[in-house]
Amino acid sequence: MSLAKSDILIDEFPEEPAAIQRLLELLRDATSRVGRREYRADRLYDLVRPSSYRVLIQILTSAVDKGMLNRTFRVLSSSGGGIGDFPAVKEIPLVLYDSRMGRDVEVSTDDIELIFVVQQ
Amino acid sequence: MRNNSLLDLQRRLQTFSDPNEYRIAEAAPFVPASALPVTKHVVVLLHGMNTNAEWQEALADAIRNCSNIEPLVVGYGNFNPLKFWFPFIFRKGRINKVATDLRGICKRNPDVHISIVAHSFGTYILSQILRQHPDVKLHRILLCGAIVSADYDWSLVTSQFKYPVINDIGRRDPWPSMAKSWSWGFGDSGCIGFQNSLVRDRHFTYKHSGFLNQKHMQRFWLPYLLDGKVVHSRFSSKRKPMRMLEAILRSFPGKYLILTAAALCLYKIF
Repeated sequence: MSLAKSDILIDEFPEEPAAIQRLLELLRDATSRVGRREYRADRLYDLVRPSSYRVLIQILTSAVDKGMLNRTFRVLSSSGGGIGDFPAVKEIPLVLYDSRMGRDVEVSTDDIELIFVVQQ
Repeated sequence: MRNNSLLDLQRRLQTFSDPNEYRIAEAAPFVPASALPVTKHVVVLLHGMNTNAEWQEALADAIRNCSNIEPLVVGYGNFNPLKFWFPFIFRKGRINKVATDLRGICKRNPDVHISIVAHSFGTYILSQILRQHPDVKLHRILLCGAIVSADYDWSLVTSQFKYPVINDIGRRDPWPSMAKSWSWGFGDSGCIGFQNSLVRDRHFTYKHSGFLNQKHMQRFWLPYLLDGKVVHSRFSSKRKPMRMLEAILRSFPGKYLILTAAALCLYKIF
């Protein structure tokens, strides 16, 4: 991750320097490890500890725009595990084939997780 | 139907025109309710000299569409140019009126974030209130068309707000320079900025009241007022330095010309 990108992030959210530092450390740590690192939005809220969830979403969105993270909406099977990743809510179909159950299932917001993937 | 909530969410998202709010609304259903903000937020809107309350109402409407935040319009009535020019008596009454109002809002809402948006003469009033009333505690401060002295010592009042302050500057706005040149107590921070680490100066191509439109409010003000996000103006880094003639005209010491003329008149009379 370039220093310039993290500087821009701090510049954009001057009230959240501590939260952004925690996020940057998390990203640094994640990029130094082998394998794909992904975090649920609520987990990131606990780790980054920003002043509000709204702010967290904006910080993460900005990090996505700068290519530091990828954002995805994951549809989960009722038997566990993901059955589809989508870049936006509007692209999630109302009915989706659940390969784990072997049948079509209706997708509810309860079956969706917001995931952020660290760019390697 | 089980998937109604997803369909409802997709339909609700179609109603958002602001991409910032869209992204927040898109993500909000997927976090625990405990993570959502609960602190109430009041945004006080303070107008400039002789500007109608139209912009205040426009911003108030935009704010009302957001949850947990309430706009409050504060004013001091019409203020004619002669009173504006005269450095004593008249200004004090306006400052006291707004101070009383603002302190009342702070007292009535002890556990609420109180932010303020001030334009033109409203910025001067606010700068005086912060100095004179340390009990006025604000959350965020947004200034535009500011006529506060560029040397205003923000470090003396840092305990009263969450910095940085945002100072929106109009490149084609002559009024802050005019106020500084032709009267006393005012400054041209609305032209040259504060150039202070506690303030973010943002430059735009506007005239004095060019900021007061829905598009600017949605793009630059709401992200800051709601979440402290500073959206940068592209013009800030592209702007060219002021031409020498313009700089001279802007710094012309008109107030001393008036004093000299008045002294000459008195000399001739007596």
